[in-house]
Amino acid sequence: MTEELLCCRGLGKQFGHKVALAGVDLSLGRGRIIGLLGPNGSGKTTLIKLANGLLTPTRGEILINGEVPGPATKAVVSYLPDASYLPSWMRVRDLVNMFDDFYADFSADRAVEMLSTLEISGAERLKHLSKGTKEKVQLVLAMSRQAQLYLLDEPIGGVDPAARDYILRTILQNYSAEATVLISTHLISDIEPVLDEAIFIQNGHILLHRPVDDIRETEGKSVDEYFREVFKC
Amino acid sequence: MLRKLLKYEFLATARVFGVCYLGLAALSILAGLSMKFPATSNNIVGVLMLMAYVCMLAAVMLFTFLTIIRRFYKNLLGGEGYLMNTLPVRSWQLVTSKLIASLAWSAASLVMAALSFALLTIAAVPTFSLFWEDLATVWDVLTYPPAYFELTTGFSFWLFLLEVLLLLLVDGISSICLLYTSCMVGHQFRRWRVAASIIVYFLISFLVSALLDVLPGNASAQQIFALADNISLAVNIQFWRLILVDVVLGTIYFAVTAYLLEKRLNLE
Repeated sequence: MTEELLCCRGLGKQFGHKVALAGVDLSLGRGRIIGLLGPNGSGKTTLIKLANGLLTPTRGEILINGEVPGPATKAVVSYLPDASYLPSWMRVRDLVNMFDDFYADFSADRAVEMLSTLEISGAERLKHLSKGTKEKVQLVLAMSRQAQLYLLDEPIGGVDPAARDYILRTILQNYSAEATVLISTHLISDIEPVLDEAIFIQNGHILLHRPVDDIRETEGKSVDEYFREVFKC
Repeated sequence: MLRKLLKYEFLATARVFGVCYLGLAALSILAGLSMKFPATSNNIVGVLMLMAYVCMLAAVMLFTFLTIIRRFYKNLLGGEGYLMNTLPVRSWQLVTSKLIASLAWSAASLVMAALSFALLTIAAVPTFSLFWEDLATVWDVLTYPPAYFELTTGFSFWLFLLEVLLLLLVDGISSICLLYTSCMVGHQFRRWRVAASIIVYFLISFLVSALLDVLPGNASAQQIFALADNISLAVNIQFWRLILVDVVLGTIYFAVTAYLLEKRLNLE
């Protein structure tokens, strides 16, 4: 695999007059955990949705393994959206079966194991689960895949601190060494310990993309502190 | 992949349609039974039940129509679109799975409607012996038309039936695909997407019917009528003209839908 995993060239997305992304150039390598960090409305979700083919670029292009988002890229990208997106009438075990049906890299055994650790019954319908439990189910499904690229949009946003720890540990334990995990969040202090690289994004512009160690050495502070400094209101 | 999509499409819709059909069957039997026992000369209950049955029948047809739209709009362009559009499948496969399921439910609803009417008449028959006599009559009535048809038109009834069914099928396909195209074109607008979809639907319907009026096929059909001493041939030609038009339209609507879903998706 000699192509870049994810590459944006002059990527722009506009919604009417609102510019969500403005000429983004980005390149993601393999085998690292990257934080996509920015305040609300900075373009994090837009970038991730473009990578999944859920939005059409207004300008430029976004490529995964050198290809435009399509069935081939969707087979190797595992996406965890910010919102609830699974059919609420389905039972948890139906969803496991569905993911198993469609994704060749999905491990039903791993999913069942994680669900039982979290004490989530397979027979429950999604609509009867609490918001936090639903989010855990979504995360388990996303992380039970052996994908090349994981795109996690605010995976710990609405979840209690104990569950947050579990989620981060799950992410670390379940992704393969050659895969890249892109975590978009504004809760930096929680995920900073697991990050290899950080991308700062504001108003649709990429401000920086550097290794986390580099930031700490050069700026002499944690990424969280540096973030607060850069995005000071 | 298409088979898997179909599996989940039917899983999502089977329960709700099953309940509808059971309700319709139950109501038709009740309505039939209530007509069997006239308590007074004015059988209020029977009339009310019959009215309820007719309403239920209309409701089931409306429900089928709305479900066809809802399954496309909500599942592909709503929140569930985040799941469906990130599956490793082609957009034409997504559209085809919806189309096949929609056709299946349309056919099922029509069959259920006929069946429920049969149930109603069976339940309404006063005595059992009369029931068997009725059945014999029904059979005679059903088998009479083919013979009569062939006698008067010199045209095979079964071929005619086949053409009617084929026309129903391609008309169903093109009608459903038009609904999908309207959804996808409406989706291209940033705001008022639902209103846009509805307007687009009526606009396309109007334009297409206007176009078909102008199309040469119409005039030449009349000419054929004048020329053909064989009426059945003229009818035949008309059928095939309609079938062809629907095939062309259906293909265009399908292609536009699949293209917009693949290249012009903007889920918010």
